Amino acid sequence: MKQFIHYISILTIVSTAVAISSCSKDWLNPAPENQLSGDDSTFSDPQNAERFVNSAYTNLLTWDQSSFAWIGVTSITSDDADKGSSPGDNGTDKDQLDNFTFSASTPSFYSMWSSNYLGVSYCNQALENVPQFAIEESLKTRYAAEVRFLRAFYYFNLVRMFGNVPKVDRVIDYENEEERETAYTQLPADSIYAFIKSDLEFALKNLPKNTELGGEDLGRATMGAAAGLLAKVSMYRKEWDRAYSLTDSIINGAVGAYGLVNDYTTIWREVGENSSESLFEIQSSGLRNSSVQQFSQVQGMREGVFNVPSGQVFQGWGFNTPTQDLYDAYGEGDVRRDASIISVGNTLFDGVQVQSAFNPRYNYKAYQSITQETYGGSTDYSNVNIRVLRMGEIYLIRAEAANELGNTAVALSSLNAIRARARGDNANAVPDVQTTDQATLRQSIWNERRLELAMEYDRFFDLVRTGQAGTVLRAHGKQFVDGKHELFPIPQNEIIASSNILQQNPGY
Amino acid sequence: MVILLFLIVPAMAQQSITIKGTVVDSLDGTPIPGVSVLVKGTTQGTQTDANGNYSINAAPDATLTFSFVSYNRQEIPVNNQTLINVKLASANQELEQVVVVGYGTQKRSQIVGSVSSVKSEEITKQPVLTAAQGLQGKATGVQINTSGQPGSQPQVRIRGVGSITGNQNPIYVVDGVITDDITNINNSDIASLEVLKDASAQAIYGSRAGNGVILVTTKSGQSGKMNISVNAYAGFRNMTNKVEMANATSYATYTNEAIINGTAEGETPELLFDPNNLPTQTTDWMDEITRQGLVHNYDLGISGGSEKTTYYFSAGYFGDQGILKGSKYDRFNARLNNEYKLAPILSVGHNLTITYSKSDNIPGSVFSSAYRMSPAASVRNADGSYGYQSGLNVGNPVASIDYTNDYTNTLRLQGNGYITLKPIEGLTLRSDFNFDKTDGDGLQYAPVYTVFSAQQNNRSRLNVLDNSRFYYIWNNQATYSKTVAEKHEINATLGYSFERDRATRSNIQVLDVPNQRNLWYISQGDVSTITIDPNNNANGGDLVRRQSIFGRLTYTYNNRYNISGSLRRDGSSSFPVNNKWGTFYSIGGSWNIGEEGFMENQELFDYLRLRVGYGKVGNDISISGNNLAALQGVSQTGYYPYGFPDFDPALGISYNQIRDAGASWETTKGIDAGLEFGLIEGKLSGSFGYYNKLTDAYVPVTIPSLFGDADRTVYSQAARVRNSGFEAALNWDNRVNDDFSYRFGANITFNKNIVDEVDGNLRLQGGSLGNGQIVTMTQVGEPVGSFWVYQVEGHDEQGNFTYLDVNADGVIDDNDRVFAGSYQPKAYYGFNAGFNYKQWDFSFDLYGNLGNKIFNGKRAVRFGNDAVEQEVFENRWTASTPNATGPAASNTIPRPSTYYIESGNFLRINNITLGYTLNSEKWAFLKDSKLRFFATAQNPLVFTSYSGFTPEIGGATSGNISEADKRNAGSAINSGIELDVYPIYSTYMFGLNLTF
Repeated sequence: MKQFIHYISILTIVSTAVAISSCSKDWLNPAPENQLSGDDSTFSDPQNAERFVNSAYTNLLTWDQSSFAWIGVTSITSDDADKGSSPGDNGTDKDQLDNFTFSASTPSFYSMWSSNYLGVSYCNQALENVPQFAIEESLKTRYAAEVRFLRAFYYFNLVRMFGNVPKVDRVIDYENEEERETAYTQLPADSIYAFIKSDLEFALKNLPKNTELGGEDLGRATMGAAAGLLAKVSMYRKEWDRAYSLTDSIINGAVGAYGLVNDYTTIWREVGENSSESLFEIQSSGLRNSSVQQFSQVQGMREGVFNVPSGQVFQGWGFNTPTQDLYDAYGEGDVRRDASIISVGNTLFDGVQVQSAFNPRYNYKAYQSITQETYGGSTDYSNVNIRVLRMGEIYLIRAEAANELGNTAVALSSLNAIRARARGDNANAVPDVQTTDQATLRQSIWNERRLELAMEYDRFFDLVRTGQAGTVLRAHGKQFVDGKHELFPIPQNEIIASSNILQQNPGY
Repeated sequence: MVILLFLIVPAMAQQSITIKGTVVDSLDGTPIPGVSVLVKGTTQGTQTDANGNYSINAAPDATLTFSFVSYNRQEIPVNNQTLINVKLASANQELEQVVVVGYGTQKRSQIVGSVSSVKSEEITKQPVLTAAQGLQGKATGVQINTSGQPGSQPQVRIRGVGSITGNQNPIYVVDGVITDDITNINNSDIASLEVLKDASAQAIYGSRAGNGVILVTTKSGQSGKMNISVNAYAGFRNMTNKVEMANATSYATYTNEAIINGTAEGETPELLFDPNNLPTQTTDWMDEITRQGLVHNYDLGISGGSEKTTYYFSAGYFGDQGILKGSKYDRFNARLNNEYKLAPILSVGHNLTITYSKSDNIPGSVFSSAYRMSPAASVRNADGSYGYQSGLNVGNPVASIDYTNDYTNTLRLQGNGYITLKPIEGLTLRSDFNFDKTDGDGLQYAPVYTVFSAQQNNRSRLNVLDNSRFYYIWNNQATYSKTVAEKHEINATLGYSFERDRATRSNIQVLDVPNQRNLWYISQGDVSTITIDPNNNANGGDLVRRQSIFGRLTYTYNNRYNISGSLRRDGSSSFPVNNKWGTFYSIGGSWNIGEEGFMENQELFDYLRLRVGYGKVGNDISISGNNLAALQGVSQTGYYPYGFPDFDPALGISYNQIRDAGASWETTKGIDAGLEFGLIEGKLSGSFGYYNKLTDAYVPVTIPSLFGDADRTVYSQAARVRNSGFEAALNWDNRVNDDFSYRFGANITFNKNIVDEVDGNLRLQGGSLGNGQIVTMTQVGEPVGSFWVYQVEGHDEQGNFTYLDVNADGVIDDNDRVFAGSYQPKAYYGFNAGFNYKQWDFSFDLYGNLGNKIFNGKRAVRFGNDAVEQEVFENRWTASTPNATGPAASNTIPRPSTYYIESGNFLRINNITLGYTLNSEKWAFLKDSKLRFFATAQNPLVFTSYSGFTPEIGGATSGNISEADKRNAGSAINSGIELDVYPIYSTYMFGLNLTF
């Protein structure tokens, strides 16, 4: 026994000594769990280069970026859509957006501002980090081009919503006060547009055509997407030559294989995803890890009664309902009306007949069929891709540019190509526009944009761009104030966080 | 307190008899020399000799008095006895008590810091899951916020809140295992509970102690005969407070009015209810989802030992069927605490406990749904389908419960093994390895169902959750005690420890699994739909390592003057590479005034002690989970479905978390002083304390989105929070005779919480309501998380509130907000009383808060057409009741205003217990044993003016708030907002305790 105790005592002392000597430095410096660390193997794995780029895309799927706030700010504000849902359900602030009673504290603007800037940051991170990988130079260039396309996309949103915004063109070191100050510097919209254009010119030059992309890259930015966005930006800048030549090159197949699909009603269906109509779409799988969060749910039909069990119909909260005014704007026989608007009484493409619902109309372009399309299982996520840029709009940009440039023939042919499709099988519906008067034609093109791009999150910006916002929206009963409501307020939270350096837009 | 033993020997009556005996110390039985023995009323007297013996002549009916410095005086009638042995109780027995202080024990007289001890009986008599809940009202400086959720722990705040973010609960040290969760500990296994409240007491736990330390020591066996104890109780639970909701007709009226008020002039309001045919059938949703809960607990303890080994074994079951239908919590546990004395100088031992808990979870959000759900909707329609309210997005809460399948099982093994070596007199070497292993799994299944468009699930969904954690801390320490020249007492402790905490989690989902319990496996679903929870935290893990060196030195002179200091150096892997180490310390002294010569001749004080201490402690848990160390951590940003479904979604990564490279320990420095006393032969005891501490706190600084931080938050040490206060506790304990004793106790803590300083022009907003409104602001000169709202002035013509234009600029904006108090109480107090009369025992205790405010968030957040409270309905403004106090019916998001601020004062009857112990002399089978029956009412009544469910509110955890906000739920900047309802309950139960 004595010996045994002796051994134990020695063992204790020895193990104690071992323990003390084993206090190596590593004990307190473990690599972070479940997280890549910037200073280890992150940069030696070439896959990670693509992942840095992917983050600029994943930001497109967030609730803040592409869902309720986006729908509210771009659509509910316009004459195309009402708040919808039940009278008392304001969707946090959608009543304010609908009625133009919003202020700088309205949460949707905070979502818009911060998610777009987060997207910009992901782009800048990718631009800074991708060059550090040992991958082919050509791939690095393509990645840079994709990212600059997306940065332009985010800035185009920001400049249209908020006007004078800070230009953050690189990763900012928050700890560095000087860098912080530059990040707060708001530039005039002209400078922001110049920045957008330089990004898009680079993207246009360096992105592959859609025909050159492998299936695993379907959904990435392409030369066509860059051309399309640059054309749209040029239209906003009234740079008609550029808008014309770009749209013309797209239509002529110079930047990829594009064309109007024959059947308008298929564009927003699953079969129409990533079709020749499409230049850029936000991809949504319907699975919870890779879908636009609740995009279809917030706009889904509410309390519907159908010819099938309601469990077979994707329903939601019923916001962003198409207005009577939009419904009435379509001519008789225009296939686009019932392809854009679900009206109570209609039978949808998947055989679902809407016998009754809380609201009279819903956005068909957010609808997902449970039985005829790939359904991820939860109404939080749908597989509906958001069409950001498509040929319908490209034709109309060409029409508008051509009209401004005095090329009436091309303007008319472009416009009527769209109208011809809208006619469907009904030869008497949606007659060709014949006018050659520039002003009348301009108005026709603008009206056509409304019908063709209905419920596609473009209308409010288009009204502001064309200077019609005040007249149209006030006629619609909204308290639109000229000189103020063309821009949204910069979120109060951001102004506070910047120590009041950021300047509010006029009127707020 | 005072125990007297008489040895009765028959004696013949005489004129004067000789009485002999021995006087010993009541604690350790050692003889006391020099005790003066006097015949009362005479000058006749003697002293005990070196062996404590005495001999004196006195009349048979005389009374003897025994007195000695620092012992309680005793008077004993002779009653013809010739042998009177006396046990004298030390006057400052209180001070001689051995108290667990962390890495050892100390005599209470040597403690320089503030330590509250709570007896295990105080805790076991309450039907509560955790000992932490049982602490409520028992100790000064300890604030407990009750939680109503079965299986959950209460919030504990020790001497105010210093940390602003994240977790501000104290650490629990269970036999050496440091943990933040003691739901696995059977209360009957607890031998003592000590709360270390100030820096000088906490500093030995240095880095972990910033929010306070609660030491839990479990029972161990004693040499001697086997003791068996059996405890059992069973009872039922009911919701304590209900909030009266408007009935269906009133609700419909209100809803229509709100729609009318929200309709622009000239337009026709689209009413939800036909004004000529308002609904009359009211559903009380709270009633529909609640029931009478059932709680029961059974445990068995066996202990004993020989000279070589001691053992303590226990097994127990705790079952709690909560008041929410469908929820259930069961806990089984067993413990084995043994010690083996291998040799006089060597012993080994272990404390081991295994706990298995099982719960059927119903999301607490069902309470919120029941609160918001229209009373005009029916639970079920005539055809059996679930009812819903057209125009309202709230799901049927009964359907939610019925469609919920959510089960968790947790197996936890906790304990230690230790070896103690005493190579020379006074020196103890100890090495202990303490561990805590948890394995949990969960299953969640959502079947296919459709109630209506806002409550449907079109594909069945199975989630399989798995989590595990292994924690260990290995302590090695040496303790040396020596008394030199009888007057100089030295105690030294030196040690070091390694600590590692590793956890992993996963949560996998698959769709299209059949609705059969035996088929709830991932492989039964459509495997192409397998996804992991996109929340980064749901699949992942954590690793924290720490390393510490610590020491404590105590010197006592002549039992009067005492100095104690501790020093600890800690390293934590939670901090950036250059800031990992921190040094923490304390120094303090105490003076046993009662031992001084000048106190010898007074009889008022049994003991009197003054102590003061200063120290610095730290905290690395309030920011845990924020990965401060990963300065260059690359985050996953989600997946993007290129080429879906032919190709799998591709991962995105980026830097989206800005870290403060200077981040290091959150530190608290503070001073503490106290006066402790015992009076009137131990009947009255008490203490007064003062403290003042300053925490250099982490703050979630909101930064502009421009910098690319996904949650727009950088954690930085940017605010200094001061808590200062005064504590008082008084106890009266009187044993009138063998049949009757009674006691009263009261304690109160006044705490002042204030932000002393912030960096730059930091404006720290918090208290998000999830609807775009925030309600708190933390600013210099105000308490942490002060309510910051608009001051209601009156009504406009439409009945909407008008607000005070503070800066008179004609615009109502943030600059017009006013501070309207905070949830931090100005004072909290406890009161307890009890008596024992023959076989009966009775006790009760109260707990209360004073001076805090609550923001009635659930009233302020209505998403449109939600149910309304009767009070809101009655007090609404209408054209015909223009003097109403409330606003007109509205669906617009209201400004957070003083209208929603209510007083948080409350007084709660915490526990009333009546017990009866059977007379073991009357009942033969009770020989050498004790059987007690008792009845208890826990939390039967709350007195409060607060109109909500409970004035004890944790943090806001609304489903709509951001991840960053969720992480900080319960943090001081979000506290006191009743958003998610979780009612508290009252428990009535019967039970028995048997020992033999």
